[in-house]
Amino acid sequence: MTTSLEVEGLSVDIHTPTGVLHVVRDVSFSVGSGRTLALLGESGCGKSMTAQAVAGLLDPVAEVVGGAVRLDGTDVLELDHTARRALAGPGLGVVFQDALTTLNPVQQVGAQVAEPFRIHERMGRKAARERAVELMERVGIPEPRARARAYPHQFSGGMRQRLLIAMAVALRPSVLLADEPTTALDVTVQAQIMRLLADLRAERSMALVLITHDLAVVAEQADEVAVMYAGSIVETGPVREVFDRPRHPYTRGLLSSVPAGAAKGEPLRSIEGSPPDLAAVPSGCAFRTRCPLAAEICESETPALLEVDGRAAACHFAKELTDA
Amino acid sequence: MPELLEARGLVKTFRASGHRLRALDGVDLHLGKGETLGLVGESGCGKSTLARTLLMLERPDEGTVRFSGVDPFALRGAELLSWRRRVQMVFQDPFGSLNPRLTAAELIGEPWRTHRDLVPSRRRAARVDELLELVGLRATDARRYPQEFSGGQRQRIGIARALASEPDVIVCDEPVSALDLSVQAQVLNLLADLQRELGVAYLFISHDLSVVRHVADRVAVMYLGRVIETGPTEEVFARPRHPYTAALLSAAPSLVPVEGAREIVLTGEVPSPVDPPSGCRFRTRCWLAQDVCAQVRPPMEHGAACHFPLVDNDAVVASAPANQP
Amino acid sequence: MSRVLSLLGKDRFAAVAAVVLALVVLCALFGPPLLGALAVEQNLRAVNLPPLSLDRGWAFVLGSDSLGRSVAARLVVAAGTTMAVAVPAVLLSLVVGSLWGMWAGYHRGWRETVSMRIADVILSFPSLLLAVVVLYVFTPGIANIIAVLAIARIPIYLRTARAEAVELRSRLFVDAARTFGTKDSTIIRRHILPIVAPTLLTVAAVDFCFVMLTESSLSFLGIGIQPPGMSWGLMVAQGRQELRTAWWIAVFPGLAIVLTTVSATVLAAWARIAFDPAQRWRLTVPGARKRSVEPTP
Repeated sequence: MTTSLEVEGLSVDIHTPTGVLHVVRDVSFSVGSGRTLALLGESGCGKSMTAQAVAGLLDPVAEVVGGAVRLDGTDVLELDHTARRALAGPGLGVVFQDALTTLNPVQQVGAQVAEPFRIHERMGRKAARERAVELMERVGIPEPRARARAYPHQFSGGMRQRLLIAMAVALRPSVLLADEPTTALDVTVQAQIMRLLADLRAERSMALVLITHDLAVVAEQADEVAVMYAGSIVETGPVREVFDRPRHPYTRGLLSSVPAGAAKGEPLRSIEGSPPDLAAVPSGCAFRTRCPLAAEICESETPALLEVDGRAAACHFAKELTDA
Repeated sequence: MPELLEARGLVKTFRASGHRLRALDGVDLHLGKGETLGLVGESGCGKSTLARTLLMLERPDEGTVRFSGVDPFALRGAELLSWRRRVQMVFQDPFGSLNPRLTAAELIGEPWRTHRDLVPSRRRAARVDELLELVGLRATDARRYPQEFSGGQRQRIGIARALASEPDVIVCDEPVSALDLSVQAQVLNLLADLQRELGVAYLFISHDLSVVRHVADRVAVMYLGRVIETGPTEEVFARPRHPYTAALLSAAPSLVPVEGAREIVLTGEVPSPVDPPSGCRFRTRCWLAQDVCAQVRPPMEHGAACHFPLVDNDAVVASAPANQP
Repeated sequence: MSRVLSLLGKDRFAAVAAVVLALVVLCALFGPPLLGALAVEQNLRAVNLPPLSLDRGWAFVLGSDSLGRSVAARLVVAAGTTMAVAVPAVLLSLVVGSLWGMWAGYHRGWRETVSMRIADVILSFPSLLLAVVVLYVFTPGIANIIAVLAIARIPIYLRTARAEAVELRSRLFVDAARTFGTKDSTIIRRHILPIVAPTLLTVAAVDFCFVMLTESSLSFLGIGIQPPGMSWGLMVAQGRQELRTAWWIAVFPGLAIVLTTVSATVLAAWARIAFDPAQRWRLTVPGARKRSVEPTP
């Protein structure tokens, strides 16, 4: 297995009128070809910002202040704009949550799916169109030749998501970044899309980075998981191991918040409070204000993400949790 | 004894640019005192229209609603007002359902401006504090504006506002789907506590099956404007009789994947309600469909509206088409 | 009140605008009784004096007109007439148009259709022509001028209020209020008016300028304010013939119109933020309004 994407010490700041927010702090992870890594976290934890930084799609108010993003061994953050586009355009595919706003409403979808071929492989209009139709067929759009002339609003939510996936995998990227790809979809359609992503990943031996807040999706789709909280990764490791024996109290709290586990009438063991405002992240361990285990050391020292037998948890009491 | 809330044969059609969209197509429903009925379905199945109809935000074209045996649509004036008080709603979007220009206290006290004799005006401030504490906020939060609260806290304000008029029924329209998981659990716990303390009944609408399974006593599954299966929650979840319910349950991702279980993956998407299939609405996606399904609307029998209800789960798995390569 | 003042103090532009408007109001209130006589006093030996002719006393600080009347005094007294026409006209069209628009937008259906057609008819009819017709038929008194100006401007508020009400009507908090059994009129008052009002006030501030200029056009045509009455518009109209020889006669009242309008607009924009609890913090952050987002280097 080769490492397709390696992110090391990535930090992103946002400049606001009231000051600088550290939205991503020293985030590291890597994904091998044919594997799926899930970036799991609640809203505002920095998972989407991480994805945008990796994809080079950050808003101008946000700025990468440190770290490296290596795509097949090359640090794309070191490259200038043109070189980055030439490398990351074909090498990294991105699927967004909201397919309706991502597609151009006044252009035929066939032309939009053909665009990557026209730009990066300098294909003619006809040939690119032909490839687009093939691709639309592959992602499960019925009657692709006729549908290529339709416009985005004539497609259902699930079909639009398929179109986005087609565009993202068009140039056979080695890494596919999917930011909440099924959140806006119905359950039965969600299952179809997840299946399509998994099939494409296996067939093209892509590395898939799945950004989501849904633990069940992670449990079913991912090989590895990185749990994010307040801009940092707090726990990472193989999904089954992390979900069966979490070593960070936040992961533990999330898992016990899922209603599926508890019986009707039995209260859910939720986490106290709500995620911190990024302008006022607690000192030391960011989770300590909501943590049942918090002690003095959590306030004074930021716990490091220490690796123990292939897993890592950023908690002063990770060892105790491991043994418990 | 009449049910607390009972709906029969509700039909609601919307007209949009020459099309007739049948949002509700003969919906029957009942809700007992202190009970939670879960309403499950995918987008466009009519569950929100049903909620709005039960709250009299929409008037049904056909069918009846009975509340403690009384038809609220026939009420006028003071009687209507007192009915309004007894059925309240918690909305999905905690950002849109609170007027950004009112403080928490003004928002919670809003129902009392209409129902003036419910709480005497000198008691109102104290009552707001009580309600804030009841939903887990502090009395000092009363003077703050909605945008100063987090999503979960706003939803608590929405719940406090619904409780202010001391209702018998609260319709919860996706009350936790906009919230983060950890906060979602807090709100679900709060709703359960309130039901225990106040004996209020919930109509709990959600697309999240695990949430419905956790909160509901009974569940009703909707598809394209009809209730296609209903029954006690555990029974429906453990032994679904309608193929759609089985597919829905199987498609929902779960935290603990059952090894070796085959997943039913339905082909296609929900057809447009502007031009729904004849007979059984689900037949176009159903792997058990026969000719009769296209001709006859299946009646509701033993909790499922299906010509060929599933008898046991093994049969589902054996006959399901789904796991395509 | 003190909190509003302290917020006002934090925004230099808004504070200046408030001072200008206060000055105009003072002139309008106390100008006519104090300077009324001076404003009509003719002095044929002091015709068309340029500004700063201080040797004849402070009265000619802004020069004199072709009949030797003090421009400064006329400016102050005319403020009264101008305000007496513009303020009621704007208020009248604002109140009627807003209520009508919110009512039409909230209820939709035939009420909306009929209202919008009426608005279209009024708007498509040149307002000056309407004024000319009406004022030729009736006597050109202040009340009639106000009525004509108000009717001509009602559609502006009607359309804005309707559009906003249609949007707000579909908001969840309006639905929530309906589930309490709140009456329609109460919903409009509590949930729609407070949110639409700042927009309407901003529109009204801009419209203030339009109304003053229309009044000046009417006066110029001889069917507005009748001499020896005076208004800023009339002064501009009268001074126009002598623009080459005595620019100050038309320029100072013109400047007064512009200053008043700009001040009203600035203050309206400020009030829009100051009275919105979600935005008020912006005024307390120094420099935040000018540069809401700092660009990255």
